[in-house]
Amino acid sequence: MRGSTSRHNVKNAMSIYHAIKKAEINFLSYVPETWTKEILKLLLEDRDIESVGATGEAEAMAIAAGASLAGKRPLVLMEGSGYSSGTHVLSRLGLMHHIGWLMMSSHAGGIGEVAYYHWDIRLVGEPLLSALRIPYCVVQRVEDAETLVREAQYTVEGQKVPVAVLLPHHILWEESI
Amino acid sequence: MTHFEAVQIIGGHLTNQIVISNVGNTNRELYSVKKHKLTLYGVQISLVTPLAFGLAKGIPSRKVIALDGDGSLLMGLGVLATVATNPADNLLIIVLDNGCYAACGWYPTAAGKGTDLAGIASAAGIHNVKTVEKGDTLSAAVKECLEKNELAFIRAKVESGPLPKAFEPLPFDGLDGTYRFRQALVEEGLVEEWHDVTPVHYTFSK
Repeated sequence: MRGSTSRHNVKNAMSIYHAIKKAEINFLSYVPETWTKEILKLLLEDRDIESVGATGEAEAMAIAAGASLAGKRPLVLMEGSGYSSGTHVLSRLGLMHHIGWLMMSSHAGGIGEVAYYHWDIRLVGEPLLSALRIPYCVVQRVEDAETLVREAQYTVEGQKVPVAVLLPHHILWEESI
Repeated sequence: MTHFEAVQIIGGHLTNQIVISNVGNTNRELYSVKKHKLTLYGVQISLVTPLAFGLAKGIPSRKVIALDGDGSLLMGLGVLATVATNPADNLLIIVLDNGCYAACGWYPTAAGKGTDLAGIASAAGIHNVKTVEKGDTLSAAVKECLEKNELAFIRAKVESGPLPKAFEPLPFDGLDGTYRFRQALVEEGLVEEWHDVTPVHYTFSK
């Protein structure tokens, strides 16, 4: 049974980081989370990416929107529950003001998640993004990360809309030992 | 000092600064006072200061003003801690504090019942914090903060109560306003022009 002995997949975190670099992301606003902590560590060590730690996901998104208007290529890194708390930012700044930014989060609604406290995210995560008309993709194979992050950023810039890249359990964690 | 008088004073100081304006009366009053192209009007409450902060980080060469309100800032107070601990020297936050939700029935905000937003800004770690209650002190504070290269916060205490209709409606919506704002940034040479990135192979050949 999957449990507390699971470890972060550092190799995959590095692949995701390289995908972010290939997409030429140069600004990060974030709220730390357990699942993506290895990716965050790599991003914070990167001197070419300006980073701001926010007090909440909605704030992180609004900061990214400002950076986007300023010509930056921002990324918001957060927990998947952030789409719920950032709903009004996505609808107001994303849809009404037509400002785009890239978002990346854990995908607790994906196959392989066992934590009871992520049950609500399974129920509302993807339906919420669909309801908000926010384009999103799920990285099922780490080999696809570079292509998907790049394509997501193209949509951010071309269509000026927030786009989400979701990372499921098997991408971010090694199997239980 | 009335809300409109404060906006008139702030508008009088605008030259080439970037401004992010709160919704409601602030929005329309500012447009009435000055047709400032580098203003993004009608930003949703709670998002004014974080959006301005992101812009200030992205364009460090230009002063950015967050023209916020007490109700708006109270909805997202955490941003003061974020701004204080990741300071942008080119950011000026001005809070027009009328102590109420003016556009929706004059119901009091927490600031109207005693919460001190300037005190919160100081406690968050912002060093240059001022509270002003009169027009001449507001004008002097804005002038000083625009001249200094330092993160600053001005709480402008303005009168509460119904306002005279001292404003004209905006002739554009949020989307159009964003495109106008973005174009103004381009014309100032602050950001690159947006280009159609449709792939070449989409073009029909003869």
